[in-house]
Formats: sequence, structure tokens, C-alpha cells
Amino acid sequence: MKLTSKTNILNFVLYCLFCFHAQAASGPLAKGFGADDWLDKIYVVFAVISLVIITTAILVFLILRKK
Amino acid sequence: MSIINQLNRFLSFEAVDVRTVAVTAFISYLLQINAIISGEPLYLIALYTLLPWVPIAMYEGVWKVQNYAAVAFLGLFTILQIGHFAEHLFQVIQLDFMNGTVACPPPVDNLANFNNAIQQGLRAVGAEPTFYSVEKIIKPGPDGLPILGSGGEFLSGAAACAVFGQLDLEIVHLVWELIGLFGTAACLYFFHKNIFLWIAFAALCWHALEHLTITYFYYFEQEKLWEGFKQVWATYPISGNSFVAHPVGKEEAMLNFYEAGGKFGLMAKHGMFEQLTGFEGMPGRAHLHMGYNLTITVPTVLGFLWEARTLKNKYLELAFSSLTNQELSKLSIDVENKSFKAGDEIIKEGDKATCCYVITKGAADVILNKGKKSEKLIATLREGDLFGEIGLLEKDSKRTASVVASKGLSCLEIDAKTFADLVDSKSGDFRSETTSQQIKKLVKIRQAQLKTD
Repeated sequence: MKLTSKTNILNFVLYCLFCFHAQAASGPLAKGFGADDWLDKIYVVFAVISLVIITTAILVFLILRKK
Repeated sequence: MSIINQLNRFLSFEAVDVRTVAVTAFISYLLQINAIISGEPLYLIALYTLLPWVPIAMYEGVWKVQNYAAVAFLGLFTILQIGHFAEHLFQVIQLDFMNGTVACPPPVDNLANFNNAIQQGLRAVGAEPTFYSVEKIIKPGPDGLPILGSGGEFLSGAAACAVFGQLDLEIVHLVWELIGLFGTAACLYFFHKNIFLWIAFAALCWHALEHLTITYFYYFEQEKLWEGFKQVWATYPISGNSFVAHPVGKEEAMLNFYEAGGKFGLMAKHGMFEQLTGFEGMPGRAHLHMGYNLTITVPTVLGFLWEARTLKNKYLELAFSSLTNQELSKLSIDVENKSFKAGDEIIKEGDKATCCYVITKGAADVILNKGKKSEKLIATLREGDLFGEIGLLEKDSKRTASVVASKGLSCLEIDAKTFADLVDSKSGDFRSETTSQQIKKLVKIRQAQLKTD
């Protein structure tokens, strides 16, 4: 493959910057994916909820402490 | 009326002069027109249009934070939130009104998609992949091939990934969400009584749950346990550099947790809530996240408008510390920004006094008998200092000394009428007796200093 146009080279650089992250948040559910799979990962959801609660509490404390 | 005046002042360029704004606008239009004529896609037209504004917007933003302190930070933060919300809103418009397809980031005219197009006879051999993102997508059916309309035509519409769909990445969503969360917390540190900001903060906390969960699955659950398919695209140009993605089938693939269903998150259609409860009817991810951003952006805007009522210049606050917040806001609207180069004579001894100044940046020398043998430096003034007030209080309105910018100088100019109102505490918009006394005392001290010298 050879890139001859300047625009194509720019596009190629931009593409390379993002391609490793590129992932479509679209499309259907996979066959067989359902409630059981979410229940298997429910600890992740609880961990995230805990993290957000702790972060929120620290931020609220810092905001109100000044006053 | 006051809030409109405040907003008008805040949203206008104060630090950047009109010529720079005009040149930037000219360059921006030039790049925009060139991009349109070259047949570039919408995201590149938007990028070329916005790019020249970035440096002066940053310069102006820093100036605003320096002059209006925390309210300016909240204002700039609000503008960014509106921009973010606009992207989500545009994606929903593409989806609902432009027959859009969500395949984000949009397929790129890369080598694989380029070769697929050649194999399908959709484009000529001999060209090369351009790496443009597609603007249009032909809708794929369950078999991964194009859905045909009643007349046998392909059903196509916008690639529903907003204007800058290339940034529609989980990490970008998460980073932006966290900037919103911590940025709002920083604003609340200064405006802790602002109920609107607390509402935005609560919405951001909930939104963080969604993005932290989705991003965790995206990066840390890589085991491919689910059978599925991946859509295969072919890409080719339709006009100028505008490309279309043409579905050419599906290939079997093993999918990880994110790809299999984690990508829908907690509350969107097909997400955790629907899976665990059996309930069907939640909005799709694009609509849900537009809704989340609406509940964040609206209170943020209201919170800013609430604080903008008392938008006040901090240098005026330094010079006239006894004025009320409302009076300082009024004065902040009435003043004009002035800039001088090093060596500029701002005030000339003997001239008629028509205004006075408060320094916001730089320094100025007060000189007696400038240009004469008896020339003498009386004082050097800095940020927050008032000068030019003596002439306004003198009966003959004559300047008593010259003031020269010792380096680049930025000032706020207060006209004679406004200054007279500041000195007269019995009538007008400013009724601070303390301020009136402070000014008169300052004038007496300075007059005594001039006589001594």
C-alpha cells in the first residue's frame, strides 16, 4: 500500500491514533448472552457503585469542609 | 436586563482585539470554504472551521478566569458541557431524522474495507485507501447484507456517530464524564449553595456508574466466550471525499463480554436492567446517554446563569473592596477594557481628565514634569491600583501627573460619569459611603505626595 495524497497521509495518522480503541458500541446481543452473564459479573457493578459512592462522599466532604 | 448584559460581556472577546478576531474569522472561513470545495466530509469541514479559533479561545479563556475568577471557570466549563451535549443530540438527530445507523466509530476507508469494495466490484482497481471515515451507511440486515427498499434500492442514511464520530470511543466517554464530575465538584467548591450544580453533580455521579462499568468491561474482560458475528463493510466514495459503508456480509467471531452485550451498559436497551428484570422498553444507548447529558447540561447552564448575575471583575473588587456584589457587577459592565504597549503615555500631565483606570495586568509609572529637567518618578502602580482619579475630582479637571506604561499594560477604563457616581454615595447606582471615603482619602494622600515631591 502506498499513500500518495497529503490528505490520505493525515487521515492515516488519525486512523492509527484511534484504531486501537475503535470499537463499535452497536450491533445486536450475542447469542446466549443474558441475565446469567450479568449475574456472573455483578461484583464488578457493586465494586463500581462502591467506588462512586466513596468518591462522591470524599468530594462532598471536601466541598463542604471549606465552609 | 442585567443578566443579559452580564452574559453579553462574558461571551464577547475582551482580551483579544477586534483585528485578531477578524483575521481568525477570515482564516476560519477560508479553510471552511476550501474544505467544502474540496468535497471534504462534515467532520473535516467542522474541524477546519474550528481549528483557527482554538488558540484565541484558549487565550480568552485564561484571561476570563484571571479577571472573573471562579465564575469564569464555571462559564467555560458550561460551554464545554453544551458542546458535549450537542454531540449527543446530533447523534440522536442522525438516528431519528436522517435514517442513521449506529456503527461507531464510523467505518473507515482502510485497506480491508477498500479491498472488500474491489472484490465486490464496488470501486475501481488502481485507487488507494484514503482512511476517510464514512458519512453514510447502507443499512445491513440480519444476514449482514444490505436491506432493500420496496423498489429494490439500498436503504441508506447517516453514520449516526455525531459530528466527530471518530472520538466515539469508550475511553473518551469515560474521560469526559470524569472531567464533568471533578469539574462540577471544583465549581461547587466555590458555589456550594448553588442547588443547580448539586443536581448536575448527582446526575454526573449516576452517569459515572454507567461509564466506569462499561469501560471496565471494555478493557478488563477479554475472554471470548460468546459466539457471534462481526459486520463486514466495503467502503467507496459517493461524492468528493464523502464515503459510504456498504455491508457485504458477516463473519463468525468469538466475542468478549463487552462485545456480547456489556457495551449496552446498565440501563440502556439490552443492558443489565432489561436482562435482569425481563423488562423491555428502555431507550437505546444513544438516546439514554443523550438524556443523561441533558440532565447534566441543563442544571449546569442554570447554575452558571444563577452565578452570572453577580459576575464581577476581581480587579475592580481589589480597587473598590467596599462595594456590594451587585454594585461590583454593575461596575464590571460599565467599564471598558484598554490595552497599552510599553512606553505608551496613558495620561499626559495638563490634559483634561475624562476617565480613570484600574490596572488588570502589567505596571505603570507615575511621572511628574515628564520630558523636563525636573522629571521625577513618583510611583509605580500595579494590578488592582486605581489611577487618573485626581483629575476627575479637581475643579479644573486637569491631569496632575503623567502615567506611562512601564511594560505591556491592561486596564479597565471608568468614565467620568460612572466615577462621579462612585464618589457620590447619596444618589445613582453606587451608594457605598465607605467607597466614596476611600477614594477621597486616596486622592488626598496622592495630592500630598505630589506636593511633597
